[in-house]
Amino acid sequence: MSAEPQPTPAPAVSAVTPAADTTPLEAPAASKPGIIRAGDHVLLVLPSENKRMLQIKPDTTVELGKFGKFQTNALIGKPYGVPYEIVKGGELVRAEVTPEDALGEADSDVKDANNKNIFDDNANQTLTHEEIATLKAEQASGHEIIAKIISSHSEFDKKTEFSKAKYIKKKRQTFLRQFTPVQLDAATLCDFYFNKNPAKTKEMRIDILSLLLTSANVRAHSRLLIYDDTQGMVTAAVLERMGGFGEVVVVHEALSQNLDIVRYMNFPQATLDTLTTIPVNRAFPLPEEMELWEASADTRENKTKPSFRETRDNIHRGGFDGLIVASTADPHSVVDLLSPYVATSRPVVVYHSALNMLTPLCQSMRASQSYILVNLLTTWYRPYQVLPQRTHPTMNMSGHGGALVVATKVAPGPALPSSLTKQELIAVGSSTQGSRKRSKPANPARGSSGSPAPKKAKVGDENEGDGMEVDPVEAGSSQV
Amino acid sequence: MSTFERYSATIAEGDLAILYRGHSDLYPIVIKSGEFVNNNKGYVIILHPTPELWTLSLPHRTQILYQADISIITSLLRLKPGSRVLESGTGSGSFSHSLIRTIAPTGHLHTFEYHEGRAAEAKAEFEAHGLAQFATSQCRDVCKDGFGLTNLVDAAFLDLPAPWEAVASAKQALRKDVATRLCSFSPCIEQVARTVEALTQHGFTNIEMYECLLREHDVRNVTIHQVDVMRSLAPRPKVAAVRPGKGQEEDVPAAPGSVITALVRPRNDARGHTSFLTFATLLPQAEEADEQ
Repeated sequence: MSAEPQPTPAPAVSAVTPAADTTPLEAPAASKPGIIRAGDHVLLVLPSENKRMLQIKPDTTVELGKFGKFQTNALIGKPYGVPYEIVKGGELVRAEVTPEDALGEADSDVKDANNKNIFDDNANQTLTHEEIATLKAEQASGHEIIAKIISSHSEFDKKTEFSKAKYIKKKRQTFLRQFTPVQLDAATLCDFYFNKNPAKTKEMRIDILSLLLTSANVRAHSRLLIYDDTQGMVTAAVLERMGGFGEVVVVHEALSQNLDIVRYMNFPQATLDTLTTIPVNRAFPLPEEMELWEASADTRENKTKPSFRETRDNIHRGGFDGLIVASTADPHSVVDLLSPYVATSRPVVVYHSALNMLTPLCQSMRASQSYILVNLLTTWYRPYQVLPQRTHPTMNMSGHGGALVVATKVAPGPALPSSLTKQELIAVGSSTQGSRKRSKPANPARGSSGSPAPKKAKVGDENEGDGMEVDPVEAGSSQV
Repeated sequence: MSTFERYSATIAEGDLAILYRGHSDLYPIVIKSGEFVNNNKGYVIILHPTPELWTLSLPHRTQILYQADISIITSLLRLKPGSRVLESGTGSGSFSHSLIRTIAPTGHLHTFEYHEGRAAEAKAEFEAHGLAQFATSQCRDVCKDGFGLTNLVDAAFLDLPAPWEAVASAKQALRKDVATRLCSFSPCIEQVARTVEALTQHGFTNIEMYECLLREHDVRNVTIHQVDVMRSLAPRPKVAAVRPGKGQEEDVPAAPGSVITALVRPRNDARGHTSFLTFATLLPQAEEADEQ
């Protein structure tokens, strides 16, 4: 049994005063997690299931249309996830959580109710629009209005229990004066954009994003290289899972440094400090444009971050713990450019919204001696409704969420015949890192020598799964 | 420093490593000087351990969780460094290794297993892999005796035959000052229905249920002829050897109009089902000031 560590302290962050040249990513003041802070970006979920993203600035009124308006100061310091009812004066009180299934409240006197004798007619509802407007003006609570609507419906009692529950749920979506502030994190943002504006995040669905994170072994103390054209969705998810430990270098399309989504995560400064970003034309200028690049190589995009030259040098040092690619450019070309900087026995994970865009890359990797465990993956992700006697998959589901190529990088090398003596193997040349150098093979058949050896010994080609037409050993691999 | 917690550039004495002998042939070994491993393939690649490789190569004591489920559960429970998680049952420790990877270095895993033998094996494994500081393993029948934790964890994961029996105790173990998350993993829909009923009764909200499966795709090159090639009464020309993935310019198509094309299709040996994943939120308790 091990001792439980100290409770996680709030991150030590000094209150950030925006500089005159506004830093693109500033951290809000530290406070207790799970509690709404001034300056937080939050997601407000309305009874209609519409969602609004906004920043909670103090001393502001927020208008929610028919659902009412409230003062932001009333929200600051309150817990996330709780529904709040808007009362007189724009104040907020914690609301009762409306049960998702209204079945309990739908009293059914008629046991074998069905819709055989119900005729759909607007006249069934005797409460007029004017009367509803009056109720709203009198600030009757949403629940009161709904109760009135139900009692004014001439055919309501004839409905089946399930039908009543459905009806009540619909009315709640229109008349409740409530909202729920939801904490922004990678999963929430991924879902929000996938449903509201999928083009922004390159149609990446949460199940594929989560698979990307585990496949790339994203965790504290990693040093990762990322090519991110998803407006920062991938970067935000990676930073969240690194928790402020380690280092993330993000290369992106030259035309825009747009990591919007990172901003919405309300990260503490410690996390933002692990992030370095650089446009691809600053990290990898064309040889013929080096002079032009030199002219502004020592610029910093902002004062606290390294210059283009320093970041370029950082990347060229290589030895990254993983490569993640989600690019607008052809993924094969991006992997060719960045893979040399990844250490061996480390993951390379490539995302694209369209499976066929990953096919050439998958084939190259499978045929190449530089990668093993190459997989081309999509996911099936289906939600279900679970209600008493009404359990079934939901009527609508997402048809696609993107695709991944996942691979492990290894060092390519000459195939070494097992007839070599130990001395000859040592003489082949040794290296402990870098993909371009040959590695000293660890030969288990002879027993290890006890001294640390690099992680690689590869001879010959490999079988890749079933049903594949595998290349016969070709000249150049020098296998005896 | 545990190789499960951090990457190291070189293999050290006593390190766990994963031997790769082929696409579906992964084998964990401990690298010790003087020891021999017999291998008839003529080559071997020694890989740095990761939870994903461990899941694919670990010795099974029970049915385990695979990467697709592990991934979505981790994300929807909002786990990250510093999270405190409860897991029951430990089983073969597949998910445990992944959880520790995600919550380290500042988080903690409380894992429970009612089978004495398995509990001991899991505990020994955590020790051997240098992860004992991140995990408290207990042998306990949580459905009978509860978790014995109060207001402590950010998330609870239940992989039990009767999860509804553990809901009350899981609720007690979860923090009450902020919203927390729970996931229940059950193969049968009847289990899901009973679990959701228990969750609702105990005040959990935002109940959602999903299934999540991987689809692996195969890619291979074939030569596709135009039908006119088939129309000739003369003997058909020989088809050139097809080389997957090699530069297209090296390949010589067998006949005019023939093209070497990649065929992509999902693998036939696909998973149909692992388990249903039920998620729920426990909202923070109301404070005095909120009652008006």
